[in-house]
Order: sequence, then C-alpha cells, then structure tokens
Amino acid sequence: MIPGIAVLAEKFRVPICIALVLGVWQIVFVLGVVNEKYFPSIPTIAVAFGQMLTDGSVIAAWATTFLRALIGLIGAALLGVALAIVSDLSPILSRGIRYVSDVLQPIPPAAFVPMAVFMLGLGSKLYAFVIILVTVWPPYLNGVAALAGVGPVQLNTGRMFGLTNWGLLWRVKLPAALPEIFTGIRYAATISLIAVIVSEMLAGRDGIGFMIFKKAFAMRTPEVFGLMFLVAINGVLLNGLVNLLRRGLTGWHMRMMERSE
Amino acid sequence: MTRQTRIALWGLLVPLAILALWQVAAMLQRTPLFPGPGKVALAIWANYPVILRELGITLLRAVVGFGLAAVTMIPLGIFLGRVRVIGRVLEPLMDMLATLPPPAIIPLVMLFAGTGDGAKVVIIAYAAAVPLLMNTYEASHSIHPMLSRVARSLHLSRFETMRLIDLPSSLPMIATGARLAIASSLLVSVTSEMLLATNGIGTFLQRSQETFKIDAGLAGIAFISLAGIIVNAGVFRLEKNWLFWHYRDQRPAE
Amino acid sequence: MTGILTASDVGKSYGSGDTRMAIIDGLNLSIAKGEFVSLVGPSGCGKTTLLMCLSGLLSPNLGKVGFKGQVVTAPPIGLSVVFQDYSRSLLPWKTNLDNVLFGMRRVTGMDAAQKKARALEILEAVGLPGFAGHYPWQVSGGMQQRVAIARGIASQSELLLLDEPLAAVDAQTRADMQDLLLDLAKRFDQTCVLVTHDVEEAVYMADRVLVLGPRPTRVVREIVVDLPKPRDQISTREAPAFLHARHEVMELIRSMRQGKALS
Ligand SMILES: Nc1ncnc2c1ncn2[C@@H]1O[C@H](COP(=O)(O)OP(=O)(O)O)[C@@H](O)[C@H]1O
Ligand SMILES: [Mg+2]
Repeated sequence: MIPGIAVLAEKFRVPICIALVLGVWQIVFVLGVVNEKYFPSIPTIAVAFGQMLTDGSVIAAWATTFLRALIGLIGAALLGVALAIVSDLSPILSRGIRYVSDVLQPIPPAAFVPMAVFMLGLGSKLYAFVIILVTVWPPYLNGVAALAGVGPVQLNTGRMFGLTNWGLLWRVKLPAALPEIFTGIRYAATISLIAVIVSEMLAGRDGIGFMIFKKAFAMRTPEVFGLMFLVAINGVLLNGLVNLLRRGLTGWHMRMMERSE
Repeated sequence: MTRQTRIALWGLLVPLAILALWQVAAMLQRTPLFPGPGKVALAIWANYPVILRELGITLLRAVVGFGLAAVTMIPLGIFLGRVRVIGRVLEPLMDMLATLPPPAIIPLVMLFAGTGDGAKVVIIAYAAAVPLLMNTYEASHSIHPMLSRVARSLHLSRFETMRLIDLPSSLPMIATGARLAIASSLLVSVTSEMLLATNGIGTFLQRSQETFKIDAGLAGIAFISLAGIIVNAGVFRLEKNWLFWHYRDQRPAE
Repeated sequence: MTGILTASDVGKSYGSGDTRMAIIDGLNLSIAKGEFVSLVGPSGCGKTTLLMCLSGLLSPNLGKVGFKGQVVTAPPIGLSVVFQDYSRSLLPWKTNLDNVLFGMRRVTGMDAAQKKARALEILEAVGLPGFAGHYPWQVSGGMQQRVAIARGIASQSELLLLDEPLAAVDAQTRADMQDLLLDLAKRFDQTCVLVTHDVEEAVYMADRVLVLGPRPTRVVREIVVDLPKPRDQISTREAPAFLHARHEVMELIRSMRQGKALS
C-alpha cells in the first residue's frame, strides 16, 4: 500500500511540486499573513505575466538580457578554452595565467560595473567585459585539468599514428577533454546569467535586471514576480542550448557514461 | 632552484606584463576615470582603513547569511536524501530554485523586508542555500546502500544514521557545495550593498564611482580579491584536514 | 525447531508483476549454538539474499526467521554480518580501531576504556596488532576483511554470518584466514554461518555443510562433516571423511548443473 503511493507520487512529482507551490502560496494569501501589496494572489500574478507577454518592451528586454548572457558565454567559453590550450603548451604561461585567475576569480561581477562604466559606457562593451571577466574561469580551469588528465596510452596511440604535437592536441587531447570542459561551460552559463542581471541592475538602463528593479521601486509586485519567472526561463533556455551543443560534440561520452551505469 | 620555483618566478611575468600594459594605457589616457596600477597602489595606501572596515561589515553579513544557510540546509539535504520518497518528489522544486539567479531576488526581498541588515542577510542566506541544499541532497541521496545496511546491522537509530553515517560520507560533496555557496554569498553580499546602499564594501564602491574616485574603488576591489584568496586558502586547509580520508593520498601499508 | 538461528519455509522474491524473480523458495534450516555451518551454492543462486534475510536486513515474503527463539524482523542484537563487499562496509573516515569501536556502540556494561581495551584485544586476535591507528584504505584488502570481522565480533556477537569472506584473497592468505576464522570462532564463542561457493573451503571449515539448490534456492542436502578439530590444512584435507564429504557435495552440484543444462 505505502510503496504504491510512493511510486505514484514519484511519477507525478512535477505536477505535485507545482501544486504544492501554488497551494501554499494561495493559502498564505488567503490567510492574509502578508500584506497583499507585497504578496499578490496567484491569479493576479498570472494576469500580470500575461500582460507582460503582450507588452513589446518586456519582450525586448527579455531578448536583450538573453542575448547578452549568450554572447558573453560564447566569448568566455572560447577564451577559456584558448587559455587552457596555451597553458597546456607552456608551463610558464600556465603558471602566469593561474596567478591572474587566482586574483580575478573571487571578485563578484557587481564590483566591476561601477569602475568600468566610465570607460566602457552602458552598452554592449560593458556587458562583454564584465561577463567574460567573471565567466571565463570555469571553462578555463576545467580545460586545464582535462587537458592535463589525458592519459599516456591515448597520447602514445596518437603518436604511433604519426600525429604531430598540433595534431595530437586537436585530434586526441581536445576531444578527450571536451566533456570536462562542457561541465565548466554549464557552470559558466549560470554565472553568465547572474552577471547580466547584476550588471543590468547596476547600469540601470535596460534589460530584465533593470526592469525588475524599476518595478520593485514602483511597488508593482505582481510584475516583479512575472519578471523573475522570465529570468528563470532564460536560465532554462541557456542550459538547454549548452546541453544541445554538448550532446552534439560529446555524444560519445554521454552514451559511454549511460552504458557504464 | 628547482624547476617548480623557476616556473613560479617566470610565471610572475604574466601578471607583471598585464600591469605594465595597464599602466601604459592609463598614462596614454590621462584621465582620473582610468587610473593605472600606480594610482591604485597609492589609493590602497590612502584608503585601507576605511576599506578594511567596510569589507569587515560585508564579510560579517556574508558569514551570518552563509551560517544560517548551512545550519538549515545541510540537515535538510541529509533528511531529503535519506527519506527517499520526499526527496525524489521535491527534486523538481529544488531544480526550479536552482535556475533562478540569486541576485534576481534582491528587489523582491527589498519589497518585503526593506533595505536593512535583516533583508541583506536573508538574500545572502538564500544565495548560499541553493548550492548547499543541492549538493548535500545529491550526496546523501547517492550514499552506497551498503552503508545503510551497516547502520541497520549496528542498530543505529534513524537520527544516528544521519549523523554518524550520512553526514560524514556526504562531507566531500557538501564541501563542493560550500565553496559555491561562499562565492555566492560574497557575490550577493556585495551586490545587495551596491543596490541597497547603507554600508559595506559594495556601498564603498558605489560611492567611489559617484565621486569619480575610481582609484579608490579599484583599491576596494583589490581587497575583495585578497579576502577571497584568503577564504579559499582557508577552505582548502579545512578540506585537507577533515577530508583527507576522501582524497586518500597514502598507499596501502602492505 | 530449536537452535540459535532457524528459518522455516522462507521465501523471497525481488520485483513484482512481470519482473518478479523468485530467489528463495521454501527454505528451512536450523543452526545449533556453537556450530560452524557452511552454506554452499553456485554464484547467483541467492546466497547473499538468504544471508540478508537471516540477518533481518531483508524481510522474507514468506516464512519466518528466528534468532534465539524470537522472530527476526530487524537485525537482532547478538547477530552480526560480515558483508561480501567488506571494504565498502568500513567507514573510511574512521581508523580501524574506531571502526571496531563503532561496532560496540550498543554494547552495555563497559566503559569507554574497557571498550577500547576489548577492541584492541580483538584487533590483535585477528592479526592486526599495530594497525589500529591506520585507516582502512591504508591497509590491504585482506586486512580490511579482518577489520570487518573484528567489528562483527566486537559487537557482543554470538552469531557471525560471513558472506564469502575469502572469495577475493590469494590462495596462501586464504588458507591462513580459514584457520584464523576457525580459531576466532572458538576463542570468542561464535556460532558461524559461512557462505561460500568453494566446496573445499565449505567442507574444511564446517561441522555441517548445507548445499543450496539452483534459484529459487532451498537447502537440498545436509552433510555432516565428521572430522576432528582443530583442523589442519594438510592432514584434514587428506582425511577420508573430508574426501568423502567433498565428493558428495561436488557430485550433487554437478548433477544440479547437468539438470539445468538439460532443462
Ligand atoms: N536488490 C535486488 N533486486 C533485484 N534482483 C536482485 C537484487 N539483489 C540480487 N538480485 C538478484 O538475485 C539473484 C541472487 O543474488 P545473490 O543473493 O546476490 O546471489 P549470490 O550471493 O548467491 O551470488 C541474482 O540473480 C541477482 O541478480
Ligand atoms: Mg553473494
């Protein structure tokens, strides 16, 4: 009896979770624990969200934010892999880049924005700079570790078939390292989105980050929730894109992992 | 001089080259809005007492928020991993929370709780909670079934099993989550100070910009970086001391 | 039935519906106090499953398991299991000594110092003096096995269930461990149930060998091994009674295999 319920609950866990959130929300609303101004009912939020979807400016902000995150992520991934390759070729450069990453990595994106605004303006240069500066490290660090971790058997096999050092890098090491690099890129996607939202909030001109803040100051709570929802959707989309690319490039690895389970 | 130290020393050329380029670029620009490393060094000297005080405030809030998240989310994660049905059913909910970038809740919390210390701590705690919960749950959920059998055959109670078996064996992944959570706490701590200006290093940065003291702002950033490096080194030490059994570098004695 | 451990009409299956697989069916056995009993059966016939049922870690779908006259529903005090996957069963964040002490958490009537003395005594008895402060992952597989056995004995155990404890060690170590186990059983007053797929080992160690049939398994034959104790690696293995018992078990297993091949 009990195991039956458990199996059923697991099967329908997504609707259960949604119902749970909506239910608890609505109960809190009905009980009136929190002022309605800050805690709108589910239908109110739904209506606000619906209206936003028909509002061109919101859609534009949404697209702007998403594109910024995407372009920043692509730049960071390419730069990160390039730095990893350079590090693999020269131990001195590797150490040098590591010093730079150790210093820059702990700095949150928000800190860069006010300092860079005067030099880079409020446009795409600012976003590219901030996003790449904070997003490049996971692909770089994973890339270095993965390239260093390619086993001697694989390398010797490549050498036996007459590959040069460059050939070895392109045809053996990089493909072998890609799965781990993608783990870094997936994490980078999360950071990229955070960096965009933060920068938009601080730069205060456009994008969803800015819009959330504006609506919050105007006490338009339902819209704030709706916009947060859009931000989350951006995360899902970006993750989906990365996964699609990963499946295309490292499908062999994913199938291998599935088999060994 | 060993090969390692030689590499370490030559490697210093990379950051030095970057600093030199930056200095040259700044000298060509000749504007206080783009100070070079020399100016920043002077600004560090001039501002360090203020910066340290403000950074202290920021770190204190980050520690309180992180601590709140740790004492609630680690037990919760263990519980959800151990009581499998509840954990599995709530997985989508945890995933939903993970997709929302923590800074996005700053405006919302501001609406509910204002701009005071309490509001900031809540934001930090939320930011730290997600990676801690996810990693603890993942670890406790995937503990080898053998350990549950051991626990039962040694007659441990459910609570003892969680405390003595599940918690220690989850520690390596909890440490991973904690590292992410620390970065996340610092991030939203600074961000929330910049947006909800009162005090702390974030506010200091914001003021520096408003008064065009970019060199002071960069000095502040240098201290943030330093704090991050020190915290990371501390975490690394803790991991080495507590999780040596996980990284097992020693070979068998036979 | 009497005996320290009894199983009556035990049945166990995994899964349900189409994927249901019967592992044990109508199994009966009774182990007397102080006995050393071997359970032999081919790989995959359900030996581990049976041991889990006997120890209370799994509950059988049918029938009853009894320990000292009580029906077993959860692992009872006084019974301990040494798992087949022994290296996973040790806690890597505890030293060997602390692992053994961990097995003594429920032991009453001893203070901390007495427990520690007892744990050290047992570690010495299993041949690990000087390794108490090591971690399990710092010692070899055979030594980990001994820590697991020490932990089992330390938990005020009267009955040890051993799941293929020697399957993974080399031939020489294996012979030594067999004698060590026999010695430990006597010294610490343990009733032992040893699961193995090695016929020679089953006969050499036991007072009684129970042969398990193919899946769904049950006891198909009981052979009393009438050999003097202590056993001796050379002379026992040459004794007519040993050869006779070995012959009987092997023939039985061969006929079961042929029966399976024919069907
Ligand atoms: N948890 C389980 N769920 C389903 N089938 C299992 C499970 N554990 C073991 N089995 C199956 O039951 C059979 C008997 O397993 P086991 O008791 O481990 O045999 P033995 O110890 O004799 O090798 C095997 O075919 C195995 O695949
Ligand atoms: Mg087995």
